Amino acid sequence: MESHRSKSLMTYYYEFKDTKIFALLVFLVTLVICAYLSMNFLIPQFQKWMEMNGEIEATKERIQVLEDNVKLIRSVDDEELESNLLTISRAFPVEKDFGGAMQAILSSAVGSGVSVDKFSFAVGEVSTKSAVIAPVVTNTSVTEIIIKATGNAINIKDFMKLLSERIPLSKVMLIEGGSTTDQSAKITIDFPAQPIADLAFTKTTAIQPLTQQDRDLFAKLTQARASAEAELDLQTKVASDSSLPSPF
Amino acid sequence: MNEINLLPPKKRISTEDSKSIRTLRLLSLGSLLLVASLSIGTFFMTAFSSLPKLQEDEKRASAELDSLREKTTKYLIAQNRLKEIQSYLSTRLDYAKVLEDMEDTSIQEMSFDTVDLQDKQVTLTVSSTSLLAINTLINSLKDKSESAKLYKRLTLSKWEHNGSDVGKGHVVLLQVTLP
Repeated sequence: MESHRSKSLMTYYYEFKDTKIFALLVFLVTLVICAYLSMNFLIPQFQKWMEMNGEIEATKERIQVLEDNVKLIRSVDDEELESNLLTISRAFPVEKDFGGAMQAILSSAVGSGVSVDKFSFAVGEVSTKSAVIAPVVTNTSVTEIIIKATGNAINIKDFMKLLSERIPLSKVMLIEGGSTTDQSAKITIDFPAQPIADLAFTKTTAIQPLTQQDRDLFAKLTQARASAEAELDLQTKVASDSSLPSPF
Repeated sequence: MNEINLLPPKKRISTEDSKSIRTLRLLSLGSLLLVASLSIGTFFMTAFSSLPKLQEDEKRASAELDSLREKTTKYLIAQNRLKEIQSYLSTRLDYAKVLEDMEDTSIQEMSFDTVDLQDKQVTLTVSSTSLLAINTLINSLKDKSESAKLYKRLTLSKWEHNGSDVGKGHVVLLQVTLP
């Protein structure tokens, strides 16, 4: 019975194998197989390949950024960076710097011929609860110092010019009655302090090198810091000299 | 024992049919070969991709940057603070420069008596025995205001003549508004 069925199938094959219908049927079956293979293997593999290509390009870019960042950071001199950070923290302090502010006012007064008779300032919060400087985003806090300066209009102008070149950075907010008749003026000066802002940085973010504008500003601030330190050294020396007993 | 099909085909195959059959067979074989070769090709392309090596390189570069974390943070803080300083300085009005400019403009027969500054407003009291000197100052400031746009507004608030006050014949109150 089985042999008979097999025989009849073979018979059918030999009978139809050279017919157009049989060839068409084979072609259609092949197409179905090809479609199945394409859907289940070829297209997913191709999509995977495309995704990998995209990932390769993205990875290459990330590597380039990382290598550039490493190269840039390695090129920065450690000592120079420390010094620059110190200069910046003196110029634009994280917390209120009363000593620095008074030093800037007094040295500007001496340089301009202005005599500072009185001064007052609102202390406010001197320090935060924690001694550790946490990188938080807050607004700039300002120390407002009001001084009564004696000097003519030209002296006052010189005072403002010198103050603008000194650190910590400051802003003259108000001058009232800068006069030659009574030779005095009330000057309100703001000294800002700002905590370190939170740095939104990921390793694959390109670190930008310092611009010429940044370098120029650094140079100015470094110069201001050097003169402030020189003045402080001189004051210390004078103070220590005057405390020595007279040899005679 | 071999079986021989002695039955005649049901239909005779014409030359035209033979060509079509041949074409169909070739198409079938071709499509199979195409799909197979493309599948093998994409398989090898994904199997031997450079991605794993690149990912290793990325890990290495990332670890290298991690080792410089402290220095990187300091550099970024410095850069960020510089930007903040620049932003702060851009809001600072250079009053000294304005006064210096006025001082340059003034002439010998003139004196600046009072200076008041608030926000963007500079108020000056200038006195002189010479009317011509005051006129020259005002014209000069007016020219600067118009040409160099140094001042937004220049106002002559008050002009007094006090003949009895020796050395201060004319007293002028000038208000300069900065841009």
